[in-house]
Amino acid sequence: MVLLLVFIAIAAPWLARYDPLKAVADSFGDPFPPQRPFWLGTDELGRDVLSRVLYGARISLLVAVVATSLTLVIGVTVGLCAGYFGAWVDTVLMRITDVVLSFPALLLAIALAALFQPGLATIFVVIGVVSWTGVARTVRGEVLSLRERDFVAAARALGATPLRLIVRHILPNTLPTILVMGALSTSNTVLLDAGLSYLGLGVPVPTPSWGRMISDSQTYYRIAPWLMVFPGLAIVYAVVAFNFLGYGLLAIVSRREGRS
Amino acid sequence: MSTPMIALLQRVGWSVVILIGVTFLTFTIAFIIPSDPARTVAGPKADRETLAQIRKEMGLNQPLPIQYARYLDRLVHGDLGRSYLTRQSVRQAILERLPATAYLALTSLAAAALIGIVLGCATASRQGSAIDLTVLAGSLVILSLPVFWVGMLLLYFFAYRLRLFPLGGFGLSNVVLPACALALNGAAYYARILHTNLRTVLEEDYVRTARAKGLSSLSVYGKHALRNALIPLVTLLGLDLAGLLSGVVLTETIFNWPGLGRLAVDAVFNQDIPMIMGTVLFGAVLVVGANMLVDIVYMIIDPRIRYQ
Repeated sequence: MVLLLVFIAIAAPWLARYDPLKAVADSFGDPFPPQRPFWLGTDELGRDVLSRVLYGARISLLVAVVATSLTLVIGVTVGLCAGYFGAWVDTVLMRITDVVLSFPALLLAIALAALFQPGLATIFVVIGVVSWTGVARTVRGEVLSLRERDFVAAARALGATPLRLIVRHILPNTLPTILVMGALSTSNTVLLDAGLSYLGLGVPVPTPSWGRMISDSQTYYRIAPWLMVFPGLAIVYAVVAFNFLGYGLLAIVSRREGRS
Repeated sequence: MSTPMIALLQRVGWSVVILIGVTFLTFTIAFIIPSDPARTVAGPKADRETLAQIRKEMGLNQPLPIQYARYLDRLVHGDLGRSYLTRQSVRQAILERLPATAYLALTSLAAAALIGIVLGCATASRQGSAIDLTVLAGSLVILSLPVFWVGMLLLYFFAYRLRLFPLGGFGLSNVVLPACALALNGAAYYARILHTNLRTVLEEDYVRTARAKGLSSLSVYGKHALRNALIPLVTLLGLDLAGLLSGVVLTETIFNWPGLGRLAVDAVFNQDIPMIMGTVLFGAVLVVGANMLVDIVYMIIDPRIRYQ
C-alpha cells in the first residue's frame, strides 16, 4: 500500500492530466461532479480534483517523511541517552519528555505554527517537535532492557567507550523498534499535517494539500459533496497504509524477538 | 510517615516540577519567539513612542529571567493576561468556554468507553472468528480517519441529508454528532486494548479455577475477568485527556461548538498571543492535573503498585 502511495507521489506530474494550480474547466463557483474527463470532478475554482489529489500526495509524503525523520532523530537521541546513561540524565530527560507530553499535541502545534512564518519548514519543525515523545519513551524502554544483555557487558569488557557502545551495539539492536515507531509516527504525522492544513496553518495556498482541500470544500458541501470526500479518502488511504505498515512490521519484529 | 504517604507526596511533587516545566515552555514560546509582541499589540501603524510605551508596560525591556519571574507571579495570582483582540481577561474567556468543552468531552468519552467496552468484550470471547477480525481491522481503519473529515461527513449525511440532527451549535441534540465524531477514535482504541487485555486475563489461572469451581460462565466473565481487564483501561481514560483536547480543537471548529478548542483556533487566526498561550497553558495544566489524579487513584486502589 505504501509503495503505491510513493509511486503516485513521484509520478504525479505525469499521471495528472491537468495542472492542479490552474483552472481548466469552466466551473467557477459551480463545481462539476465526477464525469469525463474530470474523473473526480472539479473544484470551485475550476481545477481538476483528481490532479489536485494526486499532487497533494507529493506534499503529504514530503511532510510525512521529513517531519517523521525529525521526530525520530530527536526521539531516538533522547531515548538512547536516557536509557543508556540512566541516573540523573534519565530523570532529567524523562521529565522534559513529560512536560512536552503534557501539552495536547494539536494545541501546541497550532500555537507554534501560528507564531512562526507559514511555510513548509515550519510544518516540518512543528510536527517534529510535537511528536517525538512517544518515540523517546519506547526507545528508552528498549535500551534499558538491552543494556543488561551479555553482548553489552562483553563489549565493555573489551574496552569500548560509551559512544562506541551506543552507536555500534545498542543502536543497531533498536532498529526494528525504530522502524515500527517510524511507520506509526508517519501515520500520525499525516493526520497532524492534515489537521494543520485544514485549519489553514499548512502549506501556503495554491499548492494542493489534502487538509486544505477539505476546508475549502466546506462552503460548497451542499452542491458539491465530492469535493470533501475525495481528499478525505486520500488522507485515510495514506494513514491506513502507514498504520498497516507499522503494525505489520510490529508483528514481524515480535515474532523475531520471540524466537531469539 | 508511612510509605504510601511518601509515595503520594512524591507523585504530587513531581507534578509540581512538571508544571513549572510547562510554564517555562509556554513562557519561552510566547515571549521569546515572536518577533515583537509590542508591535502586534500596537498594530502596524504605531509610531516609535507608542511602541516604547507599550514595551515598558509589558515589561519587555527587562532581562528574561525577570520577565519569567513576573510571568510566574501573574500565573500564581491567576492572571493569564488580556486578549489582544477583545481586551477581555483570558482567564475569564477560558472559564466561560470550559463547560461547553467539558460537556462535549465527557459525552464523547462516555460513548467511546461504552462502545469500546462492548466491542472489546464481544470480540475477546470469540477469538479468531469473523467478528473478531473484522473489528480489529475495522478499528485500525477507524483510527486512521481524520476527525474533521468524519465530522464533516456526519454533518453532511445526518444533518443535511437526513435532517436528523441540527447543523451545529450548542445544545442537547446538537451534541450527538460531534460526540460521535470524537468518540469514534477513542472507541476503536479502547476496543483494541480491552480485547488484548481480556484475552490475556482469560488465560490466567484464576479464571480457570473459577470455571473449575463450576461458576457460570457469565459470573466468571463479569466478576473476575472484566474487573481486572478494566483497570488499565481506567488509567488510559484519564491519561488520554491530552488526545481528547486535541480532538476537541478540530471537532469544535467544524460543529461550531462554543468551547475551548474553538477559542484556541480563533485566537490563532487572530494572532492573539495571550489567548493562544493561555489556552495552551490551561490545556497542559489540565493534563498534568488529570495524570496526577489518575496516578494517585491507581496507587490507592491497587495495593500492588507503589512508586519506588
